[in-house]
Amino acid sequence: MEGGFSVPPGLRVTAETNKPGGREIPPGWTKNPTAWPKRIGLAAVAFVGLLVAGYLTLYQIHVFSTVWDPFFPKGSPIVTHLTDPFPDAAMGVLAYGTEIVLSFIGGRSRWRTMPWTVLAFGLVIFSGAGISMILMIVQPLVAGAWCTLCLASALISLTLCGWGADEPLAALQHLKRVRQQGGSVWQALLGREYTQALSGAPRKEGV
Amino acid sequence: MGSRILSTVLTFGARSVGVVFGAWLMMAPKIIGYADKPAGFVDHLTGPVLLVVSFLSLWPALRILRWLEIPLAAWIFITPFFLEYAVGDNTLPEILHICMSLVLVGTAFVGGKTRESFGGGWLPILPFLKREAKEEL
Repeated sequence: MEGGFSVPPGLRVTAETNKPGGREIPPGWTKNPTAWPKRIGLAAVAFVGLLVAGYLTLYQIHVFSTVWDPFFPKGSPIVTHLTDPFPDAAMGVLAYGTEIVLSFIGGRSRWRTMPWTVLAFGLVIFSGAGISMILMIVQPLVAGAWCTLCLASALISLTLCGWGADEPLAALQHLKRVRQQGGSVWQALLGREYTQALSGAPRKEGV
Repeated sequence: MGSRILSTVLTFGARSVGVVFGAWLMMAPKIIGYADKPAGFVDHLTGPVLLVVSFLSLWPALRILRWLEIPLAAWIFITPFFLEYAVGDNTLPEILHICMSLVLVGTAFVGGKTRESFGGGWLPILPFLKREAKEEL
């Protein structure tokens, strides 16, 4: 017997789950984690991060001779030159750019129709949060200084992680449902096997 | 309506306490003057971890992270007993550590409820990942 106690709501399989053009809200959820308004909001926050990281990169490659810092004017040059000659802020540009691109890939139900994009997005935002934490530790311990824009970039990364974390959660729950139905997780990851596996119908071979 | 506002205020208040304490631990070694001691090194590590955990638990999908505030609080509580925080006769950092840890344990239990639901959350996913790993081996 599949009781509500033993099987969490998000992992229950129902006939209406994950048909093409079917429900947008994952089972057991109150709203769609991959709805457009939220993804546009995440992309907007990532764009602010891109501007901050872009500015720091331009300073690191000597396009600007000084770096703006209202709180730690002496600290920012020390922190930003820690990895000379490598402009580490460029990694931030890459991460924020990837987040923006991934925010616009897939439809409203991409947590089930294109889980790979959602998991890739999750990987980037969780990595960003981890790296932000490391940067917050490194600034006083290694550089012995603080950098306002670096801290702002860390705050933006943490905001993206907190706000966007429900997307990969919905995709992981979806993959677990596919597996429980005997479907291929790899096929589901590419969005190829959600129909049969989750509607309760027999699974086609070689989909 | 009133209870909803109160619940939101409590939740954000409780999580913000961890964020503020984390930020304080990041800055305290330089402000108070124990940055060169092992205690300063430890606080420079503990502060960002606490700040990140508390900040991320502001969002309902990651609210579960607030429970990590309890082991962090335990760590903040015990550190003054084996590390030297006092600067001269100033024992304020030690007293602050003990007070912060007690408040953190309390706030970890506040504001856990969310109006949103997430299909069982993160925990049911973990056994799935473990099973996959075993089959890969």
